[in-house]
Amino acid sequence: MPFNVRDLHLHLGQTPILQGISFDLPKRGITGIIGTNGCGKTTLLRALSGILPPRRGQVLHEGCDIGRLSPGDRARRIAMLPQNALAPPGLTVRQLVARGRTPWLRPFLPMSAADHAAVDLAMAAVGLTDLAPRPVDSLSGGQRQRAWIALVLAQECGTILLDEPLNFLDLPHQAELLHLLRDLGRSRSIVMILHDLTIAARVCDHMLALRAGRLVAAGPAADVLVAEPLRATFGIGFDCGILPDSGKPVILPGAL
Amino acid sequence: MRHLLLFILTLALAALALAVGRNWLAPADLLQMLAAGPEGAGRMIWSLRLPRLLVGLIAGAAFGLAGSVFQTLLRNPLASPDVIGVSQTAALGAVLALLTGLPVTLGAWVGGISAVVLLGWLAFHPRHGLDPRAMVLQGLALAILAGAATEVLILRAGDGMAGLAMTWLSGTLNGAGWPEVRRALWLLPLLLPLLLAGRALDRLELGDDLARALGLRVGLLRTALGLCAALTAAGAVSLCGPLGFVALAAGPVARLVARGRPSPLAAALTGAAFVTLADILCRAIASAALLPTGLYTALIGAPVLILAVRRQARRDSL
Amino acid sequence: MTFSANHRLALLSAAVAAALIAALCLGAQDYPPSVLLSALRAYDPDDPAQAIVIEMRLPRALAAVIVGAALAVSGLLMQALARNPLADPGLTGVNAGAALAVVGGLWTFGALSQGAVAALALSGAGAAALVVRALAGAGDSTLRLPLAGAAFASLCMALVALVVLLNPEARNIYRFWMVGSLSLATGAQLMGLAPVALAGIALGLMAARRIEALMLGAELGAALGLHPGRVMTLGLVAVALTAGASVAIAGPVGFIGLIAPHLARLVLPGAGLATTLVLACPVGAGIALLADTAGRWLARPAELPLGIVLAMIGAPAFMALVRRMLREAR
Repeated sequence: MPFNVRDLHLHLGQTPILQGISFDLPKRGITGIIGTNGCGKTTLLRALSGILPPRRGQVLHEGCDIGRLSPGDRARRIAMLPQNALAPPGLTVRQLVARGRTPWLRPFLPMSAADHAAVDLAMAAVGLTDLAPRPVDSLSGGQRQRAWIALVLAQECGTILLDEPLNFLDLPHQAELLHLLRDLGRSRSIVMILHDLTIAARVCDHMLALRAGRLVAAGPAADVLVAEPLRATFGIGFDCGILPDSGKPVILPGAL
Repeated sequence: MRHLLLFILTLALAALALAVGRNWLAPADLLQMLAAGPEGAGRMIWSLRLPRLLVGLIAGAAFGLAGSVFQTLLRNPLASPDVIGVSQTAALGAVLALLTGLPVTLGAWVGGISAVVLLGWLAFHPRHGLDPRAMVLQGLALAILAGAATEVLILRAGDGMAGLAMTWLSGTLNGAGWPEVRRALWLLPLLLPLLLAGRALDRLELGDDLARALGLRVGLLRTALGLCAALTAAGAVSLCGPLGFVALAAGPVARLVARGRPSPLAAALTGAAFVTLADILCRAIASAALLPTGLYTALIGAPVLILAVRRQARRDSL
Repeated sequence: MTFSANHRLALLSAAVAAALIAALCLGAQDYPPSVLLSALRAYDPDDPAQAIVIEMRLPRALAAVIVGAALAVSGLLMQALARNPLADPGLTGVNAGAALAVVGGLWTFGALSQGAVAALALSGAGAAALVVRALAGAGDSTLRLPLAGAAFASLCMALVALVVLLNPEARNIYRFWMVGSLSLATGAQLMGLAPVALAGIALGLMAARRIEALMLGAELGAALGLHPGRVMTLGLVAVALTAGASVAIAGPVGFIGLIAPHLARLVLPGAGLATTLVLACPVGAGIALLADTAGRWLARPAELPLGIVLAMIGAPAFMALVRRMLREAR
């Protein structure tokens, strides 16, 4: 079990954001986090990465309380890509991806061959090898997003947290990224926030549904992505169907 | 509404400014003196304190406006007329005038305008209008150049002159009479477009693309507002010396009042209130030594800015 | 014209070497390089030419190198920490703090020795950096730091103006110090302050990688295992050491901290922060050497202080450069 969360309460300043959250996540596979805007999804992700300490409760990663780990140790186990990362002007793709090696670099030594190999592998995985020497600000939105994903991949962690990674990607690139995540999910645990329930149904193994800072549903995707739990999460009705030819699920708001 | 409170605060400070000084006046006496008119009993108010107050209000509003508009246009909270060299060049002109016996205001005005013209020429791109980054970089260099020239002049000057020059450079309302008020009134036409630019500035903050999509002529707006703000700053410096700190601090305070949106009105009121408060302290406290107003703007302004920064820090952590 | 990286590095080295030789040979009296060569091979203290070159100009050139390199490094670090190309080491309040300490000392004690002035300047700079760091607050203080620094610097300068207005003796000494000059430092002070500058540069090199990662944003930086507050403090200590040493040696010198980082990035565009930091040292040193030499040569037998020359010559040169870049863009 990579993540065990017990009775997590988290406040920002005086405001309670997460209240009484408990769940277990499997060691491998993709977990999706869904919920309305402002329900605390990003805050939960930050709590899982250890950036925000809880007011009460515990977050255990592979049995260790992440609050007790040093930032370096945490960064070697758990990688996170937030929504608001900045690319300093003039940085090339390769340089950006190389930042992902930060927790593994020895204090004064330059990047080793292994580090460079990790960077190359990460760029190849997202298909940006040819664009490696280009400045990040010259890329399209989708290419830039893939560069950020590569940064996180270069961190080579067993657990990857992604905050809305599919933003800005066109559908073919979304499909490509999801294929990549599915492959990675065979050997690691991936937790991502997403809005598209159809994609969640097709790609996620496990789901966490939040509403107003509380967990309203948690479990295998097939159990959470059905009418009642979805209504409890979003407050509206959903049509959950199966496509006749492929047998793959489709979920859309009932009102559309 | 918060703007109203700010306006009332400014008025209250203005009234206080009239009452305070070597002779403190009770409200009844103050009103009597105002009613008595410029001749006779009301002379102290009408010929000394009232013009000084008016010049301070206008100059303060001008600094506040110029600073906050620059900060929005250049998308940089550090931007102020100081940073782009207008204050320093105006100061250079003023010190030159002081040392050669010419009127100080004229020297400052000429200096400020030269800076604006020079910057406009240096930072103008044939297609895109005034380039904010170039303006800032050129302005920084100009500030250093003008500052050094001023230092040389002060170095070479005699001790008495050096003292006078350094006093002016701190910013002072000493000697502000009705002629100065008349000169200050010339600034008002410049202030008006800046005051009305609130909505445009708000849209510009969204980014050039979105602003254009909303119908704004971004290049033209940038150039016009930038020039206007620079000229306003130059004019303000010519009135009372470089109170640049007012320009820097008014912006963040104004945003606090206006809940994070750029508000020229709040900036103007903040600047005016700021200078008036500083002048009150100046005249109330060291009435014998009469230390320059500019010192007080920095002494009260710095803690205010620091508080605003701390407030922002708490907000950021949410 | 495009030069390859190697060409540019060679050009830089040649420029710095030329600046050094010029600094030693030119001045109130010009000496040919042969004097320098013979002095280096077999120093004869009785030869007046050699004596001037070795005993007066060499220490001064060394001071220029240290001040120039230190200021360039502090400027580069400051711009990285503040994520703002406008950032100048003065934003940490070091120059203002130094000025306040010096002026405060003059007011309290009357006249001061050179050593005392230097010591006051260094402590004032350090104290200011600490205060500004504390004021900027914990966490992601990137945007708050320059504002806090500007506010604190203004406060200090207002107090300086206060003292200077009330105390004519302090004013007279301050007038000369505030312009920034390499004639202030003695050999002994250099020996004491050079290690401070070097320590600051070394610290900057050590922290460079972490500061670079911090530039991605505090959140991602934390996710990569950094402690944003600590990295910022580390960077600021480096800035305080380098800028503090420089103001203690030569008074408040502007321009180099602002411009040298941009020039260093022109030599090897796209290089990492650590590499650019190393490059910034010769760039800064070269600028300081050239400016000081110009000051001694153009106004001979008198001299123009370093700060003035940098402003008078460097600023217009910079403005022409920016204008050229603007014209060439898009």
